[in-house]
Amino acid sequence: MAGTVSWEEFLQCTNNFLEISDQLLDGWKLCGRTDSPGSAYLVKKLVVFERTEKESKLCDTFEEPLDTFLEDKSMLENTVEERTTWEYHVMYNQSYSVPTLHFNAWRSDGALLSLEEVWGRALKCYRGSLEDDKWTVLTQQEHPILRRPFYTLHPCRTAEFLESLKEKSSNILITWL
Amino acid sequence: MANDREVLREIWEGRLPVCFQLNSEETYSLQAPDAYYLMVPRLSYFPLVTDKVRKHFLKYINPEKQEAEMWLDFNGQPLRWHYPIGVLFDMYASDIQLPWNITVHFDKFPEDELLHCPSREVVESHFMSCIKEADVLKHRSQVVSNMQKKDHNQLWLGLQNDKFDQFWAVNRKLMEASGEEVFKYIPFRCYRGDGPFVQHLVRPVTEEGQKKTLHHLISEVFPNETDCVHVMTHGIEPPWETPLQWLSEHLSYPDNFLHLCIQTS
Repeated sequence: MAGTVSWEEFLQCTNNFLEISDQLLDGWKLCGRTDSPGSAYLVKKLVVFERTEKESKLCDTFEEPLDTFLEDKSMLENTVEERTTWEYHVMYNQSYSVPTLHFNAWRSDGALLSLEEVWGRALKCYRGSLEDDKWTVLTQQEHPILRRPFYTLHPCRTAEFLESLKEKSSNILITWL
Repeated sequence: MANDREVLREIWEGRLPVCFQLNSEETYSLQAPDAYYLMVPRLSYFPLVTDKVRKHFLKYINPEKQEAEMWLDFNGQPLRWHYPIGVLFDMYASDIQLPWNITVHFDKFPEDELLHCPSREVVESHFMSCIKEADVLKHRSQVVSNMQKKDHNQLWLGLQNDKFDQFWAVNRKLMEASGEEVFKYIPFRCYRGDGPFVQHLVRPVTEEGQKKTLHHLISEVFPNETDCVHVMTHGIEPPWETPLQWLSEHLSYPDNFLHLCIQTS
């Protein structure tokens, strides 16, 4: 079948990938067992700080004396810093013979980001072409090994994408990611 | 080809008696609500059959939680709505006495255990992705992607509205082996206790072309344990000699997967 990767190829790519990741201190690790197809996967965790705009408070404060107003620095800053923790897993899907990307993201209070919030953070260039198929491309699914909910990129799209890369790439995992 | 229509019909009509009760901690009104009794189809999914359950209990909870997502538990275990109802029942069967007592919640959604289900589209998306995966396993060519959107819709509507003929008019195409005698691999999942389900690549025939049976499948997935395990699906234990191809054609759930619950004796 077109655009597929065997378990052995996947393992080779992950080994190669990890060497590069270690050199770059990119933080990827291998978890699980390599003796059973589909049981090993790559993991990366990172914390992202984002600045988002606060809503303007100017409109309702003109009853205060002007100098009090100007002394309050929070009036001048219009951004808020949010801390989000992301965890990525790259697994091998035996049914489709392709790698799949699973991830989760949590706010600083520990709550999971919703699907809408995740889409909101997707790069605008990808969003345009995928918007119509939102429900089929990125969905919440049960992690095959950990059994917890993870957001997952649908495997059949991966096969299409990998097919276009196959001739040009020596490590398909790196190119795909 | 799924020829044994009588078997298909019996499987389709499987029902379970459920007694839904509201989590006592969430009762906001002075009077506790009555339990809600319902016969649910084994082949369906909880979010498709519990609209009336939600409606019944909403008036007894905190008025500020009216938009909250409902979730269910049995014996303290959150029920994974994305598993067919019959699979959930068979998994816990040894602990269940009929009617099946299930607790309804609107608060403290267990995000680290359950997938969110904000709409029927989410159930449809999950159902269709199982069908596609089963198709990739069974057929070299891809039957599902060559079907028109209206056929996909018919599968979904047939399941939702409990219409056997509507569903099988399309599903029979997925149960054909498309030119070969048998499927490439058998789509199945084995459930055992609380661990992850097991899914392997298993062919329906041996290298020599002989038909494989349920016994072969279990030997491949749980080597050395075939003497002490029982396999349950749709509330029955199929005989060990049942051919895998026949099992897949007749005892699969609407998502085209065999869901087998394994119990150790």
